[in-house]
Amino acid sequence: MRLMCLVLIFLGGCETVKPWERGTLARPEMQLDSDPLETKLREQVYQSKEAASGGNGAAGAGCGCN
Amino acid sequence: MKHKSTTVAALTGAAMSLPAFSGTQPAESTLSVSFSQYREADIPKDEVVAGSHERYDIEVGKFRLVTPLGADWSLAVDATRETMSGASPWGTLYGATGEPNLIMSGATISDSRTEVALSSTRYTDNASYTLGVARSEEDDYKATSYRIAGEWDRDNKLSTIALGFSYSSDELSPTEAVLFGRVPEASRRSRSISGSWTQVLGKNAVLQSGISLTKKDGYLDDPYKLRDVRPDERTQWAVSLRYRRFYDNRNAALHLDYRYYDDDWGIDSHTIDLSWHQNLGIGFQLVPRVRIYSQAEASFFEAADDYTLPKNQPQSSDFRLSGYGALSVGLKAIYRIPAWTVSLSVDQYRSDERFGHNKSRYEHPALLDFTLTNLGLEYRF
Amino acid sequence: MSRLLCCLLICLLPLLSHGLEVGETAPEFELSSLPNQTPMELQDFAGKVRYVDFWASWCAPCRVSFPELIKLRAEMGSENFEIIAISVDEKTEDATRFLRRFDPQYPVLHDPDGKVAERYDIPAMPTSFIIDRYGQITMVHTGFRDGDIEKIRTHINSLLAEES
Repeated sequence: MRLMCLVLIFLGGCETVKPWERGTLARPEMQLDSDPLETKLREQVYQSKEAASGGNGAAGAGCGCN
Repeated sequence: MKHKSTTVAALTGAAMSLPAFSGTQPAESTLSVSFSQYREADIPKDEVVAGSHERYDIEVGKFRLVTPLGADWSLAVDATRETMSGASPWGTLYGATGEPNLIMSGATISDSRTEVALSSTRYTDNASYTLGVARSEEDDYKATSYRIAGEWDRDNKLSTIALGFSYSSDELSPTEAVLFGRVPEASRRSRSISGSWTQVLGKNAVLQSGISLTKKDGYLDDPYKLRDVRPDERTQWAVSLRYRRFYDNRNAALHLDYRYYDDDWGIDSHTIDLSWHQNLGIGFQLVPRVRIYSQAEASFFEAADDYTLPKNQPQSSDFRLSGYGALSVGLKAIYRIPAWTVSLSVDQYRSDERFGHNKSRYEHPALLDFTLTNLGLEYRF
Repeated sequence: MSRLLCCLLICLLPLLSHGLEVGETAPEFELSSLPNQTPMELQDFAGKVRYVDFWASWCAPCRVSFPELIKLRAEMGSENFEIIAISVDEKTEDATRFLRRFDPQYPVLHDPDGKVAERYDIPAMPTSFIIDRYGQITMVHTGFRDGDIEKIRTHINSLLAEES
């Protein structure tokens, strides 16, 4: 938790973003994964040709749309 | 002589990750298809002692359909079909100059793999729960995997925590087992737990941190190598950070990802992914990208196969367990209109033992270079 | 040090965001319309049942809600009912480009600074408020999923039936 906050401070801290201010975060180029098919393909290629694998769970903070 | 490459088997066994969802029910249905071509560069003839010096060519077709169901559910269907041909390394031995040379298999006729995955998600006010199953089949390798995951939104969706568990059970039946003295049948399984925390940092930035732990056990050797003995167990873990930042004045986004990997076979690695998503005009986007990779060698890696070692002592000359680094440079072009997206990308990957942070004594002759081309189409309705 | 504190507070404590509640009076506002930039006020539609919908071009459920609301407006007529759509898009072109695809016949207003959205304290995107003839908020609806239009239609019909 401490490490995370230190990282966050380094990157400019957290600000509260209101639901109507999430337009930029909703952009396709701001998604953690905007092309799941290509990501899966590249992951498969790298995992089969290199030793490393893994690293993230499945999540995303999006536009806050309900 | 027909030969099956372990490349395919490794492709199957390693990455049966199931579709990931964000915590909100998708508002529309999405249909995606992609066609990709993977071409490995030939090995210089002077590094090959026997067998073909050509390497692998793979064609991949992928399909995906994601659709909301009612007010609280969604469903995803994924299918993949790959066809491959080429030769792969069987082993190494010290050549006249004292450096390891490759023994390659003969060129193979075309083989194929099919994978299908199904996943369903239930959404509640601030959380979502996903259940998924996947099955992959090819001549010499069959695998089934299961996944359960949950995602919880906090702070009006500014913060998201996710947790996932997956289990995979694989069966190998190497081809021409009797002829080459390979194990006729074997199995392995993999259990994995992963978690992530995603935090909105401001109107223009997001940061995700993730961690995963995987335990594998069973037959982990490469059955197609002349001499390859690996431990019966492997514990792997990885931590990652992914950062997305939008620059209004440039109308572009920066992506920066870092992953550190470590396992109990003695390998650790660093991966950095950097890309710049530049918007041009209405609907066009150009994305140059760079990937830097570096790994240290496994504790039982041998540059050249050593037949004097006892058969139960771990050893492998597989280049994927050696110390080296790789640089990948690519460019992707995207055109997006309300209901359609078309994209084309090319990536060039080059590996070299000089890039490694803890390189092996000799550069492995099988370190590979490849070109990956991908055409994608998406329709939203 | 205070930045670390701020960071901890924001990251650890959940925000209490509730939006305006049912029974409260709908705040007045004045905004320019799209695309003509004519000024309009909430009270221009006083005496009618009003559906105030906060949307944005980047909001995926809004692409689904627009055709449904256009149908609803055609059904209900504009004698005793009106839909007032408020875009919170920061850039005007984003909103007008979206509108060209749907061409709604009801007034669409622009709130680029989010001032009205703030006054209505909307908890999510999209959020809509159903306001009765007397200016009271009778329903707050977030998101737009399968089956939502039915709930909205029923509620509006019950409000229209009240007066007679």
